Amino acid sequence: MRIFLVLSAIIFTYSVQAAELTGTLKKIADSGQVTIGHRDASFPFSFYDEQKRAAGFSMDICANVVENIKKQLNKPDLEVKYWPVASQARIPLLLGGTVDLECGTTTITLGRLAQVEFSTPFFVTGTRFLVRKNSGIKDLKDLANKRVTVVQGTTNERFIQALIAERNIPNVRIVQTRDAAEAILTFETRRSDVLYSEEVVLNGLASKSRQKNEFTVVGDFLTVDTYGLMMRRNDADFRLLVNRTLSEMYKRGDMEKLYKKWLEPIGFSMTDLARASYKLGAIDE
Amino acid sequence: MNYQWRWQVLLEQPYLSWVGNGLGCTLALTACALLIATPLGLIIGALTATPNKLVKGACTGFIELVRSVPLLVQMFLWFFVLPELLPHSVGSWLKEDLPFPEFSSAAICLGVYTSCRVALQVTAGISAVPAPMVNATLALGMTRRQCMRYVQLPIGLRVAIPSLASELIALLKNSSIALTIGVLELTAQTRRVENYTFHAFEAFTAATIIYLGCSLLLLKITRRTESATRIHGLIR
Repeated sequence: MRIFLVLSAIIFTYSVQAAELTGTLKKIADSGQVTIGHRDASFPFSFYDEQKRAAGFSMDICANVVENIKKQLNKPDLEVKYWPVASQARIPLLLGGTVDLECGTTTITLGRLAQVEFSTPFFVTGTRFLVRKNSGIKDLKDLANKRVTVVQGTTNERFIQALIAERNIPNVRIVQTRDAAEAILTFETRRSDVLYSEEVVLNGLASKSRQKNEFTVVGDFLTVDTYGLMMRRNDADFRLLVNRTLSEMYKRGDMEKLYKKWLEPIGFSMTDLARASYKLGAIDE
Repeated sequence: MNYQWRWQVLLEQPYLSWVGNGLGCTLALTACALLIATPLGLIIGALTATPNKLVKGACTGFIELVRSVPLLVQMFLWFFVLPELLPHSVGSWLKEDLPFPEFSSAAICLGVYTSCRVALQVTAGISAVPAPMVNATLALGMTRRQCMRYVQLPIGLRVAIPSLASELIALLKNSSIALTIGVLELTAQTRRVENYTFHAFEAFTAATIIYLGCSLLLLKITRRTESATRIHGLIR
């Protein structure tokens, strides 16, 4: 009987490890720990909550990924570490192996894909304008003679500069700030007339402002931005695991719950575009 | 590490001109701050040596206040808080009509901060002038003001040149803090290149080399000044 148990244990271990582990999964299995990179203030996606724990929409998704890693590696007591990454440090920390998966608000771009790998998009948003209700600004063409705040080095900054040049909108002053917190401060203190960013970011910032009743989000989507979980390149097995997790969540209807938990409190509900992207992302088994 | 190195990204447009503009902005900011800091620092430094207790107290108070508040906080205070404290019309002029608001605020902030550092070095230089020498000039019939003008300042400033050089280099590096209020100087432009290309190591290596080059150049200039202005026969 004992021999039988030992044998079955050996067979079981063998069958689990039959598929040779590679890349990040091998690293996780060898070290017994997985490190999740998160942001400190990307509300409501990835930020420190009141108890100083990393929380948010993206973090909840990553929790599902971690569960699947535990299942696939058969390591229920896998140690999960959380590592705060600034946007400038995310690439070196990821490529250097400090962080295994970044769960934040990183927009998928082709330029970035040359350096890292992204999951299928887990969130779709677009860029619009945050303005004061009495400012009379409704659309792109109203930006003439106005000051527009953007966060330095974002995809939005590049886009709005190009668009203003292309449409010949006269005398627009672009005010660049270091991060979103300073962007809203610049806007609140009337150092700029318009804050240009992703709609969900604008909603998040405005909902925390004392002057939120004076603010409104206007304009059509100028761009469509998709957020992805970021991981190391050339790591097909790990990417498959991440994408499988997302796909399962889409099919289970988890995204509706996450919207209710994180986004509806800031006045943001699921757009048709987002609904379609989750349908497309729900790949068949 | 599985990092795709690509140094030529630094030579591609628009990244090359971003870094170039950033360097220009850093140098301009350093120069403007220096124009504010030097006269202000000299005056305050010299005034700390006056026998008038009120003036002396005011100058020391200014130095202590400015040097004990972190530069980053001062940058915020000048840019975000000051316009709110001033009367509404002045505040909104600062926010809406001041040309290059971020750059001007940063230059003033850096200038005032560095002026207190300069004043400290000037004070130290003046106190390095031996007391017998001061007494001798007074005995010759010079007034205190003349003593300061012809003996204490000329000798004291020469003594202070090496430490003033460090302050100059510190100013160059401190100018990077201006990025927090949206000035696109060298560090900000480097971060921008990094954000667009995801080539962090290349961008920041370039910035490091540029800062190092500028610092070494400034050091060389100040060494030259030191030896060119030396008084022969005077110890130090």
